[in-house]
This record gives sequence, structure tokens and C-alpha cells, in this order.
Amino acid sequence: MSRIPPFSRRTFLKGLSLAPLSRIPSGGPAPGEEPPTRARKEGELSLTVDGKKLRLRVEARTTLLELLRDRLGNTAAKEVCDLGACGACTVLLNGELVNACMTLAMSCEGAKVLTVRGLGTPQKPHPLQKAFVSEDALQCGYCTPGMVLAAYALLEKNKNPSRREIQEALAGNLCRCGTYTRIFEAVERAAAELRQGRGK
Amino acid sequence: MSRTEKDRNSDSIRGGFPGLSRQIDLSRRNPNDAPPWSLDTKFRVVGTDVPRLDGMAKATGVAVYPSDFRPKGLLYAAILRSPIPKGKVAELDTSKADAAPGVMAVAVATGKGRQIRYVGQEIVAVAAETKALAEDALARIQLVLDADGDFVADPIVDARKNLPAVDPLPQSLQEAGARGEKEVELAMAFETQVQMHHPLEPHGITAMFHRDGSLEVWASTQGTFMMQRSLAQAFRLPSRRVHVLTPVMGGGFGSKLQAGIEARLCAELAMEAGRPVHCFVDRRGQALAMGNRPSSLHWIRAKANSGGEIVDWEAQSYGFPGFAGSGRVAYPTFYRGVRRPRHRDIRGNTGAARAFRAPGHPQGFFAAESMVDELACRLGIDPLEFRLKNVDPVHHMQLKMGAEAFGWKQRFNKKPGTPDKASSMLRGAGMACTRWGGMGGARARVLCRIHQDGTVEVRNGAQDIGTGTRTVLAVVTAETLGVDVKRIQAHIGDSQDPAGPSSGGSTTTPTLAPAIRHAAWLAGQELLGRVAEQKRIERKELSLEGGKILKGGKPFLSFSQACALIGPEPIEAMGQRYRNWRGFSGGVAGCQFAEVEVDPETGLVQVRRILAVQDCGTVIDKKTAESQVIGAIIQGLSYALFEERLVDAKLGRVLGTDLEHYRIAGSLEMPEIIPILNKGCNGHNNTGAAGIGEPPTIPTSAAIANAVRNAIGARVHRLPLTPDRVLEVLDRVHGGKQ
Repeated sequence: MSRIPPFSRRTFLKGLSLAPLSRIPSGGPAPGEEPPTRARKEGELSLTVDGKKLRLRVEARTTLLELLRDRLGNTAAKEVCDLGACGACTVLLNGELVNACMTLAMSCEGAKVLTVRGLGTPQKPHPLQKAFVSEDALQCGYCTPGMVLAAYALLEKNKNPSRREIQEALAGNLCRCGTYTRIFEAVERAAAELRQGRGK
Repeated sequence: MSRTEKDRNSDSIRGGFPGLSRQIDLSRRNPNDAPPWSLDTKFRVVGTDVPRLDGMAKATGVAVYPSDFRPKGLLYAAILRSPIPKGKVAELDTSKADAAPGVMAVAVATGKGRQIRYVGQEIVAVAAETKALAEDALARIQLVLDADGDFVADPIVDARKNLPAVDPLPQSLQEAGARGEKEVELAMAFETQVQMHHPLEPHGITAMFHRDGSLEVWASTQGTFMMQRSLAQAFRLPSRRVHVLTPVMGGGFGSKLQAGIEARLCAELAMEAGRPVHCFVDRRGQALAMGNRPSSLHWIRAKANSGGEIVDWEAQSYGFPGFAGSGRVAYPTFYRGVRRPRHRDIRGNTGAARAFRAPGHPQGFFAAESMVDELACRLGIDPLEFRLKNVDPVHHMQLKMGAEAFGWKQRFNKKPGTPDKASSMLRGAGMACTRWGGMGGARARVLCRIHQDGTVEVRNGAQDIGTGTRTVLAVVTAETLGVDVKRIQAHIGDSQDPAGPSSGGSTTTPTLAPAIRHAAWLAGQELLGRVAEQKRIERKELSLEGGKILKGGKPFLSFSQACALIGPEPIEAMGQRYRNWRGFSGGVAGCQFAEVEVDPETGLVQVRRILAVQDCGTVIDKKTAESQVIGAIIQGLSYALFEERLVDAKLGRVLGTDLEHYRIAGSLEMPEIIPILNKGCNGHNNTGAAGIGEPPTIPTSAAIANAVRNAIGARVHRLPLTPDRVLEVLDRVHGGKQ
């Protein structure tokens, strides 16, 4: 509650019980007080995104998701919950699934980042991307990049996952249109295709 | 039109279901319209599995959503929201925010002296070089509020106490089971919760003013033209000077029909800054201010006679839409004896309700279908048999079809409340019916161009909220001209293209498809005219069938050869949406069957299987139509078991404003889902297409609740069916022992 110093939940409740109408400062510095200034620390960062080497200056507080979307214009990963609860910003960081919204860009020094754009292109899609389209495993498509990458990470470790294993691998990715059952089918189809070597 | 031609046309139209087929009244058909399709039409493309056209762009991350658009010089906005539910802005000073690092514009939404009506109300928006800087600046805004402690946090709490009397709840399994009575009369109460939309792509737009004063916006909207009109009005611009683009968008479910205040603020910021501004609402803002499905209370008294017929029905409902919006509920109207209810909305100091996938229907259908089911249970009649005695002929046919495909006889538990021997789980099956309009018919125009190189361009400015509008354009055009879908370039989501509908009421496809068909048909006719001209033959000798030009009924030219004759200027045809005919049915019907497993120890409900029979008239694209049914069921399941917005009664604050604490069904909760498309509602436009987005989400929660009733032997009257509520009922009827 430091953002609103003279006001706390306790004083608010107290005020409510005393009078139906109470005047409360609800934001910002109190009159006469200086607004808070946050030190903006910056640093050098080198990383590889979808095979492309980059070197740039970033603010210490910048997340990997902000770096990708707002600085690099790679909007494949989506911002939905900004709290690591939905998986829409899923990327692979050195081969491991991470929520880009919960990852500070500065922690990615020397890392390899893979977004769904790096996995395949419309001209040369990955079998998972092909299967998502053929099984109609997407509607609005906003969860799709995260879903595809979560499925990719699963198939990297498990070539022949059961339905339950697929469900568990995708449990961190939220879809609001309700395409789950079709996503399971798409992953199964891509897995079968990859096993038969008809992959890339 | 000659009499014989008219007669031939009416012969070709059939609507309805096997055994229920009816002739369509074509007296309202416009003679200029394209010849209509019917149930008997042999399709080449329509009704097949055409992959959605923008699927690959979405799956490879290159599709540019409005929230993805990053024009040069883009600023990011953040919005300060009210922390109190009721009061007035006493003081507001934004000067320190204005002077903050990176801030380029400030716009006030609720100024000094203005009323505050809910926690989350927009106060000020700030645009800065980065989102983080914009958020920093919000902390520098000096805001003093006069808080009014006399607010209503959750009016359902008091309304519950004031309901008319209900029959006492059964205290034992025996009491809850069939009483063997000849007739039954019951009064019961039901309750549904507030559900939040939470489309994954947030509400918002990216706005920029061009040098000529025109406004360009990339909007995550369900209505490109509505957005255009709203912004034009707000900024006193002629509509043509507001250009709205929505090439793809990330979900709306009803909450993105209107241009919200965030859109107006964004454009204001863009105007002040002279730069493009990205203003998308954060997740907390989504939960507080971007709409919801309001909660509801129902009191129903009903009576059924010994013959299993509903003979009396009385209902009183209440809706709780927050500070604005509608809380109206809709009950099924197709059951014998079910009468119109009385309804009242009670307002409170929370964010306003907005349309949410079949507004009012899941609420009303949960209550009414639960009541219908309970009447059957108390009479000791199979709920399927009971419904068959009381529904209209279309539902009658669908229920029989669905029950057979679902295996109702085997799955319906004849000994409710008795655990399965092997798993010690309680199992049960339930059903519910649905009905929705979805006939479409708003004004729409579609432009179809046939080019010399044999490609076909089709354009409408409406958006796609995930149903597959772009694909519908391509499929209907390809079918009408008899060409491959690959030839078609479909363009949507651009307000500079011909006008189209908002995506609401399941009307996008039934509104657009007939206009698309009309445009493509006119273009095809024009193509024949050009061929006749070039080849110096009689126009009437030529026809277009299966993508070939026939002369005297024999193959003459391929489509490409014909196109090569048209010259550098393409053929252009503008299709129209004519009025609906008097159709076979005024809406689409459906029914769903659910199988559940309830853990008697924990009260946890797991849905194993859901089967849906759903009518949507002509199925344009089978894959995407089925996806709509599956998605609607999953949202209905999530509503039935998990989703619930809670409000702190003391503070009037919404709890669980993130996606961690507001639970939505995920991959682990998925049952087997079987969609059966049943194209009966036909014959109201030249394609026979009707809506499908909303109707299948209406009965899901009721079917699941009825299945839980069948499993545990007593009814849970309140959604969501959380373990604690299930346990409470189990404890009551089993005396705390299993």
C-alpha cells in the first residue's frame, strides 16, 4: 500500500463503519509530497531469437514478453494474463518452456529463444502447425502459439504421448474458445506423423 | 418471374426434418435473389471440412491481431481505475503524471465532480513510450475520492431472502426419489452465478490520426462498423473518415460488441500525442469493467399430471446486472404448459453486464430444465420419456436421435445415489434442450470480383470472432461459382469494404452467406455475358456448372479460359442480403446429453461425455461448425462447474481478477465431446444457413446438473456445481454417510 500512503485497507474499513461518506485520497502522492521515482536501470543483453542473434540495451524490469512484442515486434507470443497463469506467452528458452511474461529479459543473457514463428512458417510449417490447421484446433487463435509450443516441448520428450499425457502437458495453457479436444487430436496426429518420419 | 419458374423454385426448397419436412412459403422471396439451395442440393464444397483460411497464419504466429499491431512511434496506454464502488471524484490532478518520464498524453474519463459507480471505473488514461512508463505515471496522479459507504455490493444476497416460499429440500434419498404419486406439484428456487467473459485478447484498440485528420484504428471488436460509427460520433467525424481494421481478433463472446470507453480514451490520447496509441485493457480491468453474464435467481412452481404432462407453470426471476446492462433471463418456450415468467432486474455497484454468448439463456435454461427434470424424477418417469411427452415435434425428433446415439438407456442410472461397485463413484446421465433464433438478416453487402487470371476476390467488412467468417466467404463463393476454394481471396475486417453485421446473436454466417451467394451468382452471370459477347454467341445458350462454362449443356470453356476473355478490368458484382422468407422454423433447436461421475468422498464432479444434437440449417463448413458446438459445450461446462465471480460484500471489490483465481475449465477437465449437426432449420434464405455460435452453450449446464441429480439422487440448485455444494446435498440426503 505504499502507493497510497495515507490510505490502507484498515483505515478504509474504519472510515466506512464511522460514516457513510468519507473523503479518501485514492492514489498518487499526498499534496506537497514528491512523487516516487523509480530508478531505471539498464543493461546490455545478447540473445538469439528464432535463430537471429541480437544485442541490445534493455531496462532491468523489462520482461522477455515486452522485449519480444514491443521492442522486437515479434508478436507471436501473446499477452493475456501477465501473471504466468494462462500460457499464452509461452516460448522455449534454451529448449525449456517458460512464460515470457514472468521472465525478465536480462535473465536471458546468451540464451536461445524460440517462438512459434521460429518453429515453422506458413510456407514451411512444422507438422504440429499443420495438424492444428487440419484438425481446426483453433478458433480465435490467441492461445494457439502457446499451445503449439507446449505441444512441441511434449513431443520433444515423448514421441508417443497418451491422451492423458497430452492433457497434462497442456494444463498450463488456457483456451477460452474451447478447442481443447481438437487440440488433443491435432497433437496426436502430429505425433503420429513425426513418428512415421513424415516430419519436416 | 413467370409462374412456372416460381413453382419450380418452390419445389426445390425443402425445410425440416425427416418425417417433419415442410414446404417453405416463398412469397417473400425476392425475384432478383440467387436461386436458393435446399436440403436436396448436392454440394461440392459446402458442408465439407475446409480448413479455416487464416488457420496457418494463426498457428505460425504471423497473424497480426489488433493488439499485435506495432506501427512506428507507437505509444502504450495504461488506465487508472476507481478503487471504490460508489462516490464522487473530489479532486483530480494529473499534472505530475503529465510531466512524468516518457508520458506523451493524458486523457480523463471521470473528471472532478463526476460519479463513481463501481470498482474498476475508468478515471484517467495515460500514454507513454512504454507500458511500464505509463503505469509509473499512473502512480503520480493525485486523486481524492468522496466515498459513499451506501453501496450495494451483491444484491443477490438480500434477494435470496425475499424469494417466495419453496418446498423443503428432501432429507433422504427416499424422499428425493419417486414418490409414486399420481401427480406432482413443486416450488423450487435456482441460482446462477456471475460469469466473466475473459476473451484472451484484451479489449482495446490501437488508434492513430493521419495528417488529413482521419482516424485509423486496429480494433479487437465484434463489430467493425459499430466501432466505426461510435468513434465517428465521439470525434464528430463522418464515418468514412474513421477506418477500422480487424483482420483477426482474439475472442469476444458478446463483450466486444460496443466500442468501450477504452476505445474513446485511446483515440483521445492518439489525438493529443499526435502518435499512434496502443490501449488494451489489462486482465484486472477485464475482470472489473469489460462486462459479464449477470447472476440470476429463479423461483418456479410447476405441476405435472399423472400422464406426465406439465399442466401448470409459474416463474419469477431476478437478474443482477451490476450498475448497468440487462439481467433478463430466457426460459424455454417449447415445453407444453410453460408460461411466460415475471422478471425483475436489481442493480448493484459492480461492473455492468454485457451480452454474453446467448444472453439470459444459460441462466433460464438451467432453472427451467432442472425443474422439468425434477418433475420427471418425482413422478418416477424417465426424464427422456417425460420430455418427449411435453416438447414440440422438432425437439422430439432430436431427443430420440440424441438419446440413441448417446446410449441413454444404458447410461441413465436407475438407482441414483448408489455408487458404482468397481470404482465406488456415483454415475449419472442428464439431458437438456436448447433453442435460439440465429436467422440473421441485418443489412449486408458483399463484393465479388472475378479477375482475368481466374482468381476470385470476395469482400465484406465484417469481422471474424473465431467462427471462421473468412472461410465462409470463400466456401460460399467457391460453391456458387463451382471453383476450387484455393482460387478465392476472401477479405474481411475492414470498414472500407461493403457493410456487414456485428457478430452477435449467431447471425454473422446467416446474414452474410446469402449476400455472398448473391454476389458470386451475379458475378457468374456477368461472366457468362462477357463470354457470350466475346464469342459472339447467344447468352442464353450458356450456363455455369461445376466450374465449367457449358454451351447448350455441353462443356465449352473452363473457368480459367472464360476468365481470360474478360479483359484487364475485373467483373464486379455487389450482392445483397434480402429479407428472410417465412421459414419452416423461427429458430434453431438442439439438445444435449451429459454423463458425469461424482466422487462421494470429495463431491468432485467430472464430466465424462457430452453429446450434442444441434441444428444450424445448411452447414457451410463442417469443421468450423463442429468447432462452434464443441467450444460452446466447453464454455457451458466451465460455467456449470467452475466459473464464479465473487464480490467482497464489505468493500464491493471483485475478488479473483486474474486468471489464477478465476477458474476456467482447462485441458484436464475435458470430457469426450460428440457434436452431431442436424440441418433441419432451412429455407429462410438462399443458402439455408442459420446460426450456431450461441445455441449449443445454452443447455450444457442444465444437462450436467441433471446428470449430477441422476448420479447423487438429489438436486444441487445453484451453479457452479462446486464440490462443497455437492457434498452439502450428499450429506443431507445420505445423512452424512455414504
